Amino acid sequence: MASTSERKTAAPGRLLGFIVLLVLSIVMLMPALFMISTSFKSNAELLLFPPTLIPKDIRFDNYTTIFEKMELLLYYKNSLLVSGFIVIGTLLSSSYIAFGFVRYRAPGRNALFMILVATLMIPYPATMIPQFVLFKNLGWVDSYLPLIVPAFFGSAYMIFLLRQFFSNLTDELFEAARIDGCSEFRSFWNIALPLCGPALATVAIFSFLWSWDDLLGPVIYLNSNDKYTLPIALAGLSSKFRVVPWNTLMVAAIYTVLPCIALFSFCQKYFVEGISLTGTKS
Amino acid sequence: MITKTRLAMTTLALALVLGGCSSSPSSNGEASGTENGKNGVQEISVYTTNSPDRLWVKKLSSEFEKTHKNIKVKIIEVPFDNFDSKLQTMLASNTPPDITTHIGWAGFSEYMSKDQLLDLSPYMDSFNAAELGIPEELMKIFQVNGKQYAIPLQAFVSLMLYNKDLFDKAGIPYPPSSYDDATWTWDKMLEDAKKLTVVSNDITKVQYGLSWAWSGGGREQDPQYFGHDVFPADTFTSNKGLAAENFFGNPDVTNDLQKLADLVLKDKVAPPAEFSVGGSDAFLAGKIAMAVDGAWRLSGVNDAGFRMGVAAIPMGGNSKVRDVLWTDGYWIFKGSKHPEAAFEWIKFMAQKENQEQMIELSGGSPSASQLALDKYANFFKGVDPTEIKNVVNGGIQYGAEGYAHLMPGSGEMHTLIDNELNPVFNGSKKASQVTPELQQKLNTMLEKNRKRDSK
Repeated sequence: MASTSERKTAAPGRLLGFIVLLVLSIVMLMPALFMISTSFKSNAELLLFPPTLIPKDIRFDNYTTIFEKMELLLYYKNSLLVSGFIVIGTLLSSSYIAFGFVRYRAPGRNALFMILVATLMIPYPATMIPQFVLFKNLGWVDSYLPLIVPAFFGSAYMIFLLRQFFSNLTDELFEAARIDGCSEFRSFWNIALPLCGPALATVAIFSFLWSWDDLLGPVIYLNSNDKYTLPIALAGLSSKFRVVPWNTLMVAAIYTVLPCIALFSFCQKYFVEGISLTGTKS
Repeated sequence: MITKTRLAMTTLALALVLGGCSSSPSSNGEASGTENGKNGVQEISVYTTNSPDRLWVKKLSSEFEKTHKNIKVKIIEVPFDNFDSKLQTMLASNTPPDITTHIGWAGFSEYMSKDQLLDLSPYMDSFNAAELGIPEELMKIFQVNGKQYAIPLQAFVSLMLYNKDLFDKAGIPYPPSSYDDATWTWDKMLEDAKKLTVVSNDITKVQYGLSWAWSGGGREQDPQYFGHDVFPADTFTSNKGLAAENFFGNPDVTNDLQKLADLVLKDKVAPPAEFSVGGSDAFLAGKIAMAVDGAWRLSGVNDAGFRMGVAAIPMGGNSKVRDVLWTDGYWIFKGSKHPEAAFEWIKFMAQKENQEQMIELSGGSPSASQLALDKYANFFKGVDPTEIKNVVNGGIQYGAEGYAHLMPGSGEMHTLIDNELNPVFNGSKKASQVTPELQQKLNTMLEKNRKRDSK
């Protein structure tokens, strides 16, 4: 138990820390607050200078009229479909490949892993055209396949992340399983994966966010408006040739970030549970 | 057994994904159209942006299909900022669209220099530009060695928008819209701008006299306004837009750039870059009295909370060039399977009634046809139609086409020039300290472009 004098010296420090954190939080939240504020503004109020933080004329109808201005639900459905499959594909493939890198000892394994990690350094535009030619020859242009299928072949970053996590699991665990007649796949599925809740949650969050926000991939491969994802629709609201309708754009942006917030909240719970499950880690 | 079942289930799930997401044969939208369908229907693709100002492409294409039953139009829309990257990918993979225009930094000459455009001369017998009201000056922009490679459908001039309320408040006469008014000069504009500028510590009272984006933000063309060319004259006549050298180091060009930077730094009549209004438009917010920019700025007129006028660009020292033209010529890429059908589409869009609809559907983008000028001039609430007509006609007469449309590699050049000149415009360096090195770097880039072209 801390003495009264200790508490007295700790209090100013804590208070200062609290104030610093509070100020930083406000600074970090400002863009989000401005986004929410702008989403409620009228067209006329968008032009006011200096800009208002609390709208004078709150326009709730901005949140409903957007559905008349653009096919938001269609783009939502498309984005969910693409991101959903990318998350499933990334989780399945990357975890299995990472497990293989940890559990199997084979000549050239480390070199192969280094090559895999090196691919992270290749920027997407460098591979964009050869990939486009490949998928065009497969007849996949204007479909979701070029966006989804690569996820089922693993993501270098996610493999790297999961490999680090799998390597913390003790060999004894798998040896005991093998003695009990457990196959390698079952060891992976029933033992390794449940122990990697936090890592899988992280992979799910990352792959969802990256695919949800991805603009260039869908722009390159999709040609039909009815297949477009949310980022393409949002980008279409701004043009050099028009005054940007910031209120509409901010409403669309808020609708767009909702699934990200929901997923993060959902995975955060598993994240905590996952940590408690990993008590057997060495 | 369990493992095998799981493997089978995974395979099945993957197969469902692949099957469910695959493209239908007709939706591929790849360039060069599709082969004749069973009913002899030809599909052509039009590549454009998905921004509201290009809504006309979609709407008028539906009208086109009604009158051309044997032609189906596939619209490929992309965001404005991704226009060039997707088009380059499609071209590199040999699947260009049938029809497009220049919207990003890569312009007409970019594709012309790579021999990617179809010569439209064989189809020109059925196209009478004069009858459709398209000025000869605009048609000529897309002629190379006597052959026509694109048809202008939209033509943006640069112009001056001014806030009548601020002029009235300061007791200053409005600037003229006629290009024949010899009293309207750079010096007069600067004098007015000084009177219209309000310096204050109270940010709500700050007001600037002028914002200057004469060449749409491309500083490489700005010296042309003052009568000093950055590139040799033959660049745009016999040299396919490939400049042999540049004159950024020339003292006159250097002085011109410094003069523009001084609008912010010395004269203090123009807003600094950081002066933004919550991401919106400072002119439309009523904080700038005169704004020189492309005609697309007119699109915001109907939202402005003040009376607005349109004026000519003042005389700056170049008797032939006073404004920049951004003419959107529509071309057909080589390899199109249905060039006749594609040309029919272009011809359809050039008709007077469709040019008028284009103005309406685009929210005020100017047509290339003079026959639709009345419609354009009357489109903007509260702006005198005569002023708009004067500015458009004068703009075409005294206009020089934007360099971005005429020079291959203009995007790369623009980035270099912008980066090098930024210290001049933010006041950390004088133009004379920057331009000799810029000239050298740009010459190296130009030489590389010429070598690439000769291959």
